[in-house]
Amino acid sequence: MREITYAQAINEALIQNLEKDERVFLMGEDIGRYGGIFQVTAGLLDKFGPERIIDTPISESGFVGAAIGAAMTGMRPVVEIMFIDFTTCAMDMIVNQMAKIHYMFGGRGKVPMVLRINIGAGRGAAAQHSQSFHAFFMHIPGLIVVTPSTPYDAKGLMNTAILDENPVIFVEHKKLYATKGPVPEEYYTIPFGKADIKRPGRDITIVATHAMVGRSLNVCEEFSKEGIEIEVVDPRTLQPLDKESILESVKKTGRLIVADEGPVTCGVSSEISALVAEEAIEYLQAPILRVGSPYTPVPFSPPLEKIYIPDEEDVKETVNKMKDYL
Amino acid sequence: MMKESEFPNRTVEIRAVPAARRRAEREGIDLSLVEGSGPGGIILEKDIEHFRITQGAVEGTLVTEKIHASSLARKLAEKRGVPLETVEGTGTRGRIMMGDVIKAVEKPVVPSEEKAIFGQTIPMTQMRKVIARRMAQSAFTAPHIYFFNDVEMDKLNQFREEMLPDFEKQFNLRISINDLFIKAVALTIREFPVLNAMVKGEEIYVMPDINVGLAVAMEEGLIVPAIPQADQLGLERIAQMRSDLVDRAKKGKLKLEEIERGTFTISSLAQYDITFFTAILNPPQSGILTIGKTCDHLALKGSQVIVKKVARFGLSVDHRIVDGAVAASFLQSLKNRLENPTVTFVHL
Repeated sequence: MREITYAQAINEALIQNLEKDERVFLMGEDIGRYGGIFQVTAGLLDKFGPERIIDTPISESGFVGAAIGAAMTGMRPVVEIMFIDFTTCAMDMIVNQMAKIHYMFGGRGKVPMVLRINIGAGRGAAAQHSQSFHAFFMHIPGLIVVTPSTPYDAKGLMNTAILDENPVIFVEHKKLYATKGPVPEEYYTIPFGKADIKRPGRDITIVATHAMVGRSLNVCEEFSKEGIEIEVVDPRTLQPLDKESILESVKKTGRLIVADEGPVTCGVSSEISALVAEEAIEYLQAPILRVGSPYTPVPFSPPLEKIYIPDEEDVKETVNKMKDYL
Repeated sequence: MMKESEFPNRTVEIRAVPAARRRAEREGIDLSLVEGSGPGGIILEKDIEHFRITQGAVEGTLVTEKIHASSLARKLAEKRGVPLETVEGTGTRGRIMMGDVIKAVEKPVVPSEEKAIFGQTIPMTQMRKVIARRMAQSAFTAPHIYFFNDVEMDKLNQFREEMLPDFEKQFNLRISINDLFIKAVALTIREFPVLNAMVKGEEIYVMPDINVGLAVAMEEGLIVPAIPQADQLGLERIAQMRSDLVDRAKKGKLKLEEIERGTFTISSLAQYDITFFTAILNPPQSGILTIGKTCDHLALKGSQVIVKKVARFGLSVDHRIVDGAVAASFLQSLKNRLENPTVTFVHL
């Protein structure tokens, strides 16, 4: 199969949806002429024109609100916010409007829109452009939270997101945009709430999201040589969360590591750890361990930022800790 | 509101992962007897598995770590030289407290007047509890069958006596008749691997090494240290190890591993006036050899009446995996070895 990047895979999904459904349109800062901060919407303005690819002023609250209104009246907006950090400017729209309308109108209104954001440190972009607080959206009832880790998943999940009748927070990862992987040219969808076993194993389960999936997979081979087989489970969507697959894997291996790039404090990994502690504690052969960012703002200094980012070394160290329980 | 002192006492000192706790509960295993191999001694599920497989060898779980005792009690016991396994615990679940050790020091365990013991309830020591549980487990899970034969001891005794001076000179060791038994048994097991096996679920696991245990009787109970790979060791090494192990067994200084490694047991009552006896298998082993006293038997040699020294050997086997014919052949083969010591022990 041909290989394209994560950014190209999302771009391709957007094109296919723009072509097949005239209700679909895009909004965001610099998504038109500039092609989006990470070039995810590159070329779309020329292809679909300024009526459907709309560059907005710098007002997250304004254009997210506009998209919510458009969605309620039958459109399918896909909105880009440059960095997850800027969603804070639109929090009222996201948390109080987008997530609540369907519920508060007794099901007689719906908001079928996609809000594209990205997380991840490692680009020297400092504390206001590098955060990974996607766990926040997992905390808000009424939102679907999607976290693709590969180009294949990114395209399939974007297609599902645009089809879905509910608001979707589509969380991309900056460091993944340039990674390549096999992606079918044709249109396909990946169901929400269905985890993907990225690597089967029997000794340790790593539930990993986003870039942590690849980082975890990179260390698996090394441990495999020692006879330790790690299973990597990628939930793909945090809301809805595929509890069954996670629990099934932990019941098999008895050991759980959760790797998510957000801060571990009240993070995605906290939620998944708690789930396992509540529903499968009697299967645990070891304490649950977490890999994530430290509880501090993302540093600007490149050496400090490197230490801050949970990487292969951190995964390795955590697996080594767990090895004592094997 | 309850005062804190009224809260039920919790046994916090046992650290085990949840999966190990679940397994122990399901299988009725006392976690306080299990040695943990995880970080900081935490008990892992595989330790339960290991315990189940090897608890057989731990006839007397003498290792102090496994005895429930407060750290103050432990320290005091060590200082006063009181073996903890002889102390009766009065704490929660029989935990030995400092007061118990003090009591034990003040009141040495001299069987006072006889009348004191009749009609009394005596709590079991840790060691007795382990023995009780293991013997019951063995008797009720492994169907035992028993075999006996008479072994002529004249040549073996003579062989030993001839070796004694040389051995003392060369190795400064006094070889015991038991050393010869250990070696001969180990060699015979090589021919009959199923006597070095154990039942594992629905499989028969033949253990890799032939480690022959020798039952050592002590006041508090029985303990079986084992000579590793006895089939491959020379007699001098066997004698050396046997004397060291028996010595330390009597002092309660054995390492758990020295007990756990046994794959076959020899139990001798040759020093008693006992003609023969049966034994309960030392789980999970499949065979145990018993040796009675040596008696004089009259026999005919041509037309002359002569006296032969004869000992009666017994073999108990786990009938789940050892059949009568195999057990009989084993005893027969062992007899041949012991009755022809030069063939058996020379050039080894």
